[in-house]
Amino acid sequence: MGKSTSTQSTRRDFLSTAGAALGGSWLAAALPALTAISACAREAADNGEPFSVLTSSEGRTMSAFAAQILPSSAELPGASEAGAVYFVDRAIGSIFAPMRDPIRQGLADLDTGAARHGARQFSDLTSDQQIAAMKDVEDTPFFFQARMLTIMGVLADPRYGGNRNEVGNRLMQLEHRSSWQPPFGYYDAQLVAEQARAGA
Amino acid sequence: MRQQTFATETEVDFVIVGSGASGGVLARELSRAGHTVVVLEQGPWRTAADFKHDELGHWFLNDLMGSNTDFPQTFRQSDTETAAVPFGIQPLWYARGVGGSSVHMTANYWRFHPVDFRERTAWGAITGTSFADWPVTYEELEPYYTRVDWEIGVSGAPGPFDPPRSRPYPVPPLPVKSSGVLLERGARKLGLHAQPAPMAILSEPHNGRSPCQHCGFCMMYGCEYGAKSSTLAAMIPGAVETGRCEVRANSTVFRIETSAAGRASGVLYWNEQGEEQRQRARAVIVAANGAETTRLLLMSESPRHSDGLANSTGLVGKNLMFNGNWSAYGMFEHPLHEYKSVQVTRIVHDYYDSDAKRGFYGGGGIDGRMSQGAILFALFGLPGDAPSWGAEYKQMLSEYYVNTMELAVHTTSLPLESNNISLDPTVKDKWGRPALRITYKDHPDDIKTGEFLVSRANEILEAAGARRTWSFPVQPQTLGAHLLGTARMGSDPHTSVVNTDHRAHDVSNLFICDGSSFVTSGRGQPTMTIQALAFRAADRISALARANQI
Repeated sequence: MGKSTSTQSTRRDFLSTAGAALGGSWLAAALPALTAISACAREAADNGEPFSVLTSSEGRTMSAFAAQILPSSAELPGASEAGAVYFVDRAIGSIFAPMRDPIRQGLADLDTGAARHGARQFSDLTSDQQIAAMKDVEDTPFFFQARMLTIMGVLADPRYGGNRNEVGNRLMQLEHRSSWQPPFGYYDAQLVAEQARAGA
Repeated sequence: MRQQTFATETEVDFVIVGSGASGGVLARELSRAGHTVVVLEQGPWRTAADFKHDELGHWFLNDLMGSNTDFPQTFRQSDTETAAVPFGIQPLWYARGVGGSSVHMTANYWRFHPVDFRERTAWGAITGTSFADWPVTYEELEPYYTRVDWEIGVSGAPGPFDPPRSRPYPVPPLPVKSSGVLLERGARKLGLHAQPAPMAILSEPHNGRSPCQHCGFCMMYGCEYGAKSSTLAAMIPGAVETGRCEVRANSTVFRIETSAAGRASGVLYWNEQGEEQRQRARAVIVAANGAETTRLLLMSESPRHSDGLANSTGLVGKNLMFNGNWSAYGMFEHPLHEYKSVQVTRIVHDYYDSDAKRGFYGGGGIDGRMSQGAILFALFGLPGDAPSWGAEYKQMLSEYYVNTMELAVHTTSLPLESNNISLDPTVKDKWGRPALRITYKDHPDDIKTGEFLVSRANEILEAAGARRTWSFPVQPQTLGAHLLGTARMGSDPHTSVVNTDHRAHDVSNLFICDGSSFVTSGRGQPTMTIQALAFRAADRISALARANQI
């Protein structure tokens, strides 16, 4: 089962994909367990991971928002590939619990705004429409918090649930190691080389 | 080794509140001098293996400092406002745990210059401030600065503006980073003088400790190699080895007890289980940092000490000084990779002294570094006119982060009674203690000093060849990592809290020795001086004890 990057797929899509990949009998046996997970952990997310706080509908809106903060491109992955939405989901249920209600309200407001364009929710808007809708709320506490959580979801230690596949490091052009030796950067390397030439 | 333990009802020679920059030094020195010592530390006893590379945990969740929920602090700029708990990082940055804030410090170890101790005389009075000379001189402290160099462990090499030193550095400077090369290049073009940064991080093995592995996680992090010269790494083991010192972690002191005669008899604290304990001692030393020391003294009021212990002057908590800390940024053509190794490898001290020609009091130093990790840079680091989200924002992050350096300026803060720590009347911490309430607004001269040095920093970055430079407006600070001046030292009991032996004027067997003892702020790197004072205080206090004068 490949990871879906679509923000459109639903829990039903996940279940049917999983069923196709793993065989109907497995699905039939697993369904009660999956249902139980859904019941306690809201609804399954796009790629099959359960959210703990967000509904899958809220998750779609948050994913779309995050993908506009740090968009994906052919050369450089962004918030979607980093799984930033999973960071956000976990964070508002734990380390940033006070943001839970403002974030959910802000996501609901984005969906309400989308409905005025005849869309089912924010994630169904065109990219230009999404950007315009986000510009309208750029100065709100919701935007500040959702942007901050998105950035953390791309760059924070993966143990918090985001920053998958080294996306954050690739984005910032850095590498994590437990130790380094000099030279560290271009200019100190250049100095070392000059000193070596002068000494030679 | 297993440490010696003492029963709480045993009257030990000294109980020391706090195990940080000063408490760790005092514990080792007094126990080595033959005294029995119990150190009470409110945080846990971590080992090097506990320290992690986790920007979110350290910068946003206060992993080493204690959470906002458990230990809220409130902030306001003046006493006409109601102080509020800010979001995220706490206004006062100090670590809880054995080693205190020396565990998470950046480890810039500048000595004060002779002028720092007598600047009131050199400059003159400044109306509306508590600007004063110190009752000690550089010459008196020099042997103790040298002991810090050698016993704590400082890497460095002398620079052109350095005060006299009686002994060379024990180990050479750390390898220069690109920020250091560029600071030196820009400074030279402008006729300024960059010099290697003195850092309490070992460049070579020293005193049985390992050198720096350049992992890049110093500022706000603990060192997993023990190469940073925290008291956890450099002092506490030696204290425990004497067999006369017990370090009791997870022990939160909330009251100093005094007898009817007005002498300190011991301290009350909560142990890890939250049970109230009483440790008896012949003398009490408070070394809990300028903020926690204040709270403890104010919470130790009694009929005889109605405004708090050692506070007959009303000065406890007042004259808080953060030092000014502001920055300019430069983006260069090639990658600097400032996220590697220690923060600082070169500094400029050409603007250290005050200069009346500038039209205001103040001076400071400039260092080259990059304080911001990836998250902080993405949130706050790009130039003010850069987009803050979207494709162009992402592209800029990718191009800028590893190519950017910071010139941080560190400056004087004038002592003002209106800048202070007090007990919040409504907000409580998890123990039910009043939250620390910070009232703070930089003096106009402090702001001008910051503006002056940020302008110089921008010039240096341009001279170094930056493709682009930027800085942010120098605003009054709302955060402080240097907690100075709140129980100032002085000879006159009417204008100071402790004497030159760090003995409280009001209580003969109570000593207060940490950043709170500072009379003026220096130029922004106080830990070296906090520890020189602590080594000196240990000598003085031990001599008093031997002479039966406590």
